[in-house]
Amino acid sequence: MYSYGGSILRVDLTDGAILRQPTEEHLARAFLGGRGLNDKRLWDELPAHTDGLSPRNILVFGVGPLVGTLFPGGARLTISAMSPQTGILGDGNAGGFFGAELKFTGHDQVIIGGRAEHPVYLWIKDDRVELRDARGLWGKDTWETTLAIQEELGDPDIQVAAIGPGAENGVRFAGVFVNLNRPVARTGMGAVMAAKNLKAVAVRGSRLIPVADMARFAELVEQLDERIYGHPEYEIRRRLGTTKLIKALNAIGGLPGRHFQEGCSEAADAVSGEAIEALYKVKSKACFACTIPCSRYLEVPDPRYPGLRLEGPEYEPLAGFSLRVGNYDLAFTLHCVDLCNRYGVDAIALSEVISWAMECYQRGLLTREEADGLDLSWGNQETIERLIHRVARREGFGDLLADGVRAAAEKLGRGAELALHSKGLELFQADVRTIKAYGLGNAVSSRGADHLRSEPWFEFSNDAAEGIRRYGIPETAYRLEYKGKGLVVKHFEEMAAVADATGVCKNTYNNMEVLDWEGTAELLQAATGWALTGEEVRRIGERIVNLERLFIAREGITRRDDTLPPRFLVEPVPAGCGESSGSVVELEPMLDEYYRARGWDAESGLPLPGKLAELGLSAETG
Amino acid sequence: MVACVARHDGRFGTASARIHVVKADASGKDLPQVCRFCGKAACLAACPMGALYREGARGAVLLRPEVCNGCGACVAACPFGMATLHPETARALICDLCGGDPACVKRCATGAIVYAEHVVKGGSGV
Repeated sequence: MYSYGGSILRVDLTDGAILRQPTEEHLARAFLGGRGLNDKRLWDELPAHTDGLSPRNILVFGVGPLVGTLFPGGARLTISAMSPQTGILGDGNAGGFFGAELKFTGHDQVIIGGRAEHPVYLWIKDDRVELRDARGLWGKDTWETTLAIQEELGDPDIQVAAIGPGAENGVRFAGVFVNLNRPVARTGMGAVMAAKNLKAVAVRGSRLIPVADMARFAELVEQLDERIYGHPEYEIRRRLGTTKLIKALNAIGGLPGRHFQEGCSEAADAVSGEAIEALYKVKSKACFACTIPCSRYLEVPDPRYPGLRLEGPEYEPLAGFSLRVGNYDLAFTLHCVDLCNRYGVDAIALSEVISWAMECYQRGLLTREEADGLDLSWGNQETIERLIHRVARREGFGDLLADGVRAAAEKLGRGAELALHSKGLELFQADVRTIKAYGLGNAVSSRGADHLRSEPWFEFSNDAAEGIRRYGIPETAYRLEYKGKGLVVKHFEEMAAVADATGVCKNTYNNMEVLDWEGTAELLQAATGWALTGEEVRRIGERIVNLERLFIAREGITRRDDTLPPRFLVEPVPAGCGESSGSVVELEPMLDEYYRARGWDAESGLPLPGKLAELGLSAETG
Repeated sequence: MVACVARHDGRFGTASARIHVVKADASGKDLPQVCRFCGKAACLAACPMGALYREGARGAVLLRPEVCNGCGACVAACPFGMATLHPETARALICDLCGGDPACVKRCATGAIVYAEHVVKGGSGV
């Protein structure tokens, strides 16, 4: 098989059994790899209602056919399992260098089941696979773990995916970290690893991966590079990465200030990507083989945080530990992000539980006594920092927050209407009342509230003619309109699924749209040798979205769960946010349109038999 | 690295790359390691088989693969660690400058590596 590692590795941590099987070509053709092929494993091998923390859960590391190639940003690793945080489909995705290195060991997937008797780490060097004692690593943070494994094995080029103390202590939104600062953050994949007593996975590969037509592939990548270099967003993405969004969202009132009570802020400039660039940026950083080095290495010479240096952050943790919690001190924000990375927890979830607690306090729903005596006033740095430590250690009030915001509100018995999640996963750092396709995308996402399942950037385009050309509806091009957004989200969900299944970056593939369906088909054909049309590629994306819907439906999800917190549905955007003021998410008409476009039942939100047959998924429900 | 491997092996990987980037994630440093095209090339001098020779035009050290026996003398001799052996064929891997159009330079997005020819004492070099 061209452009694949060729093997699937299975590791049973309970008995230490290690098996290797060939990657099944018929499954690769149907689901590509990465998120798609991971979904298929979970669907086939997990019984319904599996407890995310039980040894019966499987943890699947997967890469796709474009990982490790010349594709700019063909670097993405997806880790999937039943989520211990949401109780439905869990997965997370990271760039960096782990994904390509895993591919070069000759493996497309590593499927890990069972539970080790004591902490271990998995060491994969090409065909050689070993479970090594990690008792000495337990308790170490993500940085210490990564560096200790590289040192123990004597090779700094070994790539490590590690969990930190947050996961070990049972934080349900703990992630898995690669290259020290790059999280597979969402849905608690780190918590699954910890429950398996698996401290890390280390990989080093010397395989050379054949492609069907290298000359053609290289030619297509050259064209792709030209489109990237010529893209209007190239310069700003290269300088700031996603941190460009602080200013962009401030301009439309879409920031998450004080838990989405303030969409714009005069203080936003102080915590912007531009401020980071001016004050702390040392150099640009990139993922494997990428031509947009959008990440940044920072050194923060602030006497309060001696030695503080880190890569990143992306917009999400940056806005989370500044505006969302009401803090405008940039160095403190970066310190918080660094703590999240070292403890190994999801910064979106953690910034939500802290800002939720602060709003509960503001509204008199939570007393100081209930919160360990902490002063939960907005922006209180001492409180924020203490809560990061307490959540990661599950101490005191932190223990109440450590299962995520939905669980926290249930345990407190108050504040459920303020808990900003969908299907148990916390919302990201943009106000979906100001970007309605993103609102719909968050509501229907198969892993709970999340923007990366769709990234429907098109609603920022203001290009009515293009809206008519693409979707037959001019309103699709405008962020505050809701008409046609069902079609937009369907389209971008399929693009996001193909990006995650091939293993490429959504900055280039979705947000910059450097390839259309036909272009993707050409590239995949050069890589794999399969004759593919653009429509067939799109259909793979659609198949993945439908299989995920089947998976979460099996866990009880219906249309009722495809929703957003009341803040976004009934509370208008406050005055002072320009055109966005007064806006709410008109979710119901968008949902109707979305299900219709999907060929799903509008009442239940479940795929209809005709659609499943069309996608070759009939057997999945038989 | 992957551009180097794609050019020379027609496949994707890093293990047969003739350029290496040392990545120190903790300090954020990315240190590209390239052949120094030494005037007195230790690799060339060390080869017991006469498999290595100096290319006239650009001064790169080139390999006659049919002569190389994979002994690794060049690997041991290179003071910069830039001679390695191919993971499959065990033949010497030394930067050949891609005949004057280096794939790594072409792909580098940041301009961290550049290619320039200049005249050195006693002939041309890079």
